[in-house]
Order: sequence, then C-alpha cells, then structure tokens
Amino acid sequence: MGSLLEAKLVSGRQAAREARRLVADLHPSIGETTIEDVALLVSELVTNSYRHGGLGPNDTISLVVSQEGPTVRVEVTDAGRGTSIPAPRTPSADGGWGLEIVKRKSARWGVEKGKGSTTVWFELDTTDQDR
Amino acid sequence: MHGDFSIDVVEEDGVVRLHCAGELDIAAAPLVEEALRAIVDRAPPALVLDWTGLTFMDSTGIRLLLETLTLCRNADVDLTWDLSDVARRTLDLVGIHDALLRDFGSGSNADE
Repeated sequence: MGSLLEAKLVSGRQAAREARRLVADLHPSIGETTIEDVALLVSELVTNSYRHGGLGPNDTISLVVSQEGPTVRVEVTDAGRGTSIPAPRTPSADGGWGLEIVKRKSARWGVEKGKGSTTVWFELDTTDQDR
Repeated sequence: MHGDFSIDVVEEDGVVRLHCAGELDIAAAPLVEEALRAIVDRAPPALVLDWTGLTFMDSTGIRLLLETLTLCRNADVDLTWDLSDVARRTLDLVGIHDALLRDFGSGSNADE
C-alpha cells in the first residue's frame, strides 16, 4: 500500500473536522467521489475515538490513509482507555449510526486491538470513473 | 457562525424555522441541541428543520434528527424537515429516511 497521509489529530470536538480537511487535500490523488465517502467514514471513526476512546485533552488520534490499485485503506488509531467503538447494538435515537454507516459504505472494515491502542480500519474500492 | 457551521432561528406566524448551514458534525452538535431545546421549551405549534444549507452531515445529524422527533412528539410540536442532498444521502445510507417518514409521517421532501 502506498502511503498518502499520516497525521496526528488532537482529540476533541474539532478532530473530525480537521480529519476531513486533511482527506479533502488528497484530491486529486484520490478521486472526488471517493474522497467524499472517505471523508464521511473518517468523520465517523474519529468521532467514535473522541466519544468512546476514553481520551484525555492532550491525547492524539492517528489517521493513516494509503492506496493500492483501486483500494483506499484508512486506519484510525487511538491510545485511549476506552473501546473506540460503541458496544455492538442496534442503532437507536442515542446513537450507533456512525459504525452502521462505516459497515454499509465500506468494502471491508475491522477492529484491531494492540497493546494500549485500538485501530479501526476500512477499505473502499474506487469506481472506474473515479480513478 | 461557528467554524464552518451557522445556525439561525426565524419565527413567523407561530412556525419556527431552524436554519442550519455548513458542516453538521460533533463540533456543531451542541449549538443545534441548545437551539432545539430552547425552541421546544416554548412549544410552538410547528417547527421546520431547514437543513438545506448543509454541505456535510455525518451520523451526528441522524442522532439530532431522531432526538428532535422525540422532543417534538413529547411537546406536541408539529415537525417537518427539509434536507440538502448531502444530508439526505447520509440518512439514505442507513436506510432511515423512509422509516422516519413511515413512523412519523413528516418531512417536507417526502415525495421527492
């Protein structure tokens, strides 16, 4: 996978917006349609890290974007004390929709628990017209 | 204006319109929640969520919309909503917009 972006975001309410800005700057390396999808899914994962990752105000969220052929891979990692993802449940008025969007929109996704960190990743397959 | 998000409340003939423009995400959510609660506390006959100016909406918007539906139902406020294409797309991604219309019979762009 060729690396397109490696960034550290300061945890907070603004982190998702900052992540979307960084993703937007990947155009034209990534096509416009795919960028919109990546930005939405990144926004969901960074928001989950902030809300569920148990991060402090000085903690960071790592964002890595890479590409190989038609596949764009994104990894969002935090070193928080939480779970980074909400407990499995049916989405409701209280939330749970973010991960549902990631599940439905990505080609593949998953969670990797490291020593003291959690990475949630997804892959999108770009369309012919967006390559 | 708060970053890339703005909110505006307009009242006319008892109908309150909550205009939101820009990017609706977790950074903007507290502003919307605060405005919604202030509106619903006054229990106007009708509330229109005018989200046609949204250029981005993630699942925060879904949560806020569901929260608004509950608040309005409890306060007997007639709720309708009007969404930008990107906001509508986020709702459609999880297949929720049709379910909302079925369950709550609202939404001004129901027939699009």
